Amino acid sequence: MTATQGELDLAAVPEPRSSRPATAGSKKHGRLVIYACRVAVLVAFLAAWQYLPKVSVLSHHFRFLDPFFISSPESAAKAVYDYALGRNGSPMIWSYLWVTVRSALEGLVIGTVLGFALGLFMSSSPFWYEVFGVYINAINAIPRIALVPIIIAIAGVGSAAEVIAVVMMVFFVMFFNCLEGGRSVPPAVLDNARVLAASPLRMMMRIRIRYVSLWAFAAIPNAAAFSILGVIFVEMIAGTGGIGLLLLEATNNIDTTSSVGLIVFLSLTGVIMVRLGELSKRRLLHWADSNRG
Amino acid sequence: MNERRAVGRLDVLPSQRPEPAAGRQGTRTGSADSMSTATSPEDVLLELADVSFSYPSGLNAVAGLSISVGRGSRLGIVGPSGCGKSTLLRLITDLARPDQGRVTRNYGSDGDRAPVAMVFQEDTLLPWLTVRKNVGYYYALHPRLLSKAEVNDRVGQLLGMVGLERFGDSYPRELSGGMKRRVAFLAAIACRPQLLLLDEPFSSVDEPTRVEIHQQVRDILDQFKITTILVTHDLAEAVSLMDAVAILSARPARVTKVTPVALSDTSDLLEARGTREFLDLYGQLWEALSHEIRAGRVSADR
Repeated sequence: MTATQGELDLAAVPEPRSSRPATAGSKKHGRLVIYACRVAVLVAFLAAWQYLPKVSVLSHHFRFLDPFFISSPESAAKAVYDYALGRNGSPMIWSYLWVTVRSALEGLVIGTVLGFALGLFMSSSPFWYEVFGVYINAINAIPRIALVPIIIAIAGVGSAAEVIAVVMMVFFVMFFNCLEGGRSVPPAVLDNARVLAASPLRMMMRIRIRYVSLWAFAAIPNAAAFSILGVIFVEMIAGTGGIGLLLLEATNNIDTTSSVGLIVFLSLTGVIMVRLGELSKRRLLHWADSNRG
Repeated sequence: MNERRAVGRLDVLPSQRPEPAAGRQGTRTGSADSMSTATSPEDVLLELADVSFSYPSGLNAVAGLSISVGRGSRLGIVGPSGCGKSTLLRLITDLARPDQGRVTRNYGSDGDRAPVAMVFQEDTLLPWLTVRKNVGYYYALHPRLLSKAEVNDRVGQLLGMVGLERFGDSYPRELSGGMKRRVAFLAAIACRPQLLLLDEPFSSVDEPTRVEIHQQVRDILDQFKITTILVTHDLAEAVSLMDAVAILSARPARVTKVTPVALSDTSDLLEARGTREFLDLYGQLWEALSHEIRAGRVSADR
């Protein structure tokens, strides 16, 4: 049916793209596009890493493109393979990786729980945050990396020092996120609970804790990265074991290829930790808007 | 007999609820009159005596406001934007404390009945709870008042009254705006409050849906006979749901006029909107509110 002059034929107006309902097919198509883009980014990065250093003008002009310092994807892949199977003089990495990951996870859990609890409490009690907040900020400003030798001296060479270092790093990331999460509760939601005579404790444990959880999960990527960083640093200084020890040896031997191979394992570990965090969040916080993208 | 009271005082008591509009003069002009003679103090559920409140910034929201609300009555409050209507509700619920004056609340815990409940203008549904659990939320906060089975029965009955029985296990994100407002209303009703406060509860809903909700709200309020205070910009809403409508002045708020409201037939509020009595009441409120808005502008210009 065509519109006559002065009439509007709504049937002739195409639906805006955003209003078209998402079908299963279009969702699957969307996922495929994302995966394809991810692969394309990886290929582009690897290609640049492999071939740009071979352009002598670039590698002479930019030190970070010198193959001596950055190795190559081909060599790094070989190193990863050797570490995975314990071949060609490389130790089998899995026991070392487990030592590092175990300490990282222990510290991550403890730091998260402490940061979560204190952030939740302080967000419910503005008075106590006003009292202690200045001290928390002051301690947070201390470069904790500089404290690692003292931690090792106190806790001894071993996993205890690693866990303590991780807790010191993760706690503050979690605390500030959880504090903000507790403050992000819509005022009307809290007012409604007050009108219904909910006690401050019930409001904290039934309402604020949900919003704090949302912000805690948002901090997981940073916290996971800091947990690995903390453990590796202690292991490199103390030479105790784990991936840090292997990195120390590779660094001392100026073996960039082995270092890059070890970094690949650490990166994959971080990606897996973050992914597990995301899956946990989808399950535990199914109601969160951020789960729906 | 009716007595002229000082400007600003409003008494709304159920035993003096006016007769249906036919044959009755429902409006007053000039100063607000008391709607009734004094009755026994036991009838008064809530009293604000000469209450004043200013925000920390110095904004004077309420000045010398006096209101007395009797058990079972339903009072609508309308006024110019920013006059202090929502502040008044915060004073009633103790979310804000008056700078002067006294708020007397003759209600408290009564078995499984909540003292007070409120439907806020903003969304207060908890996104992690189902509709059923949101409606029964008061009893989750106070688990010893009712058994789970009793709560479920009550919630199920209420959901059925608004046509949401199929959505009990849905989450708020799966609901339309009108459905969410119904659920918020049911959550306030489910605890059988002694005093129900409604702060522009349906302002975010389109008008046809709002009229539909009004009918359901009216039927529920009639059935459970809950003392209700409604703050609204919607004059038709106030006429449809309430027994009396108070007009507040521009900020700082005080009561300037009281109009008794009693529709002769509330079985179909949409149809009632076309009746002579509805239109007369609406017109009177419109005139009174417009007067206050103009007066507020003149005062601001000085």
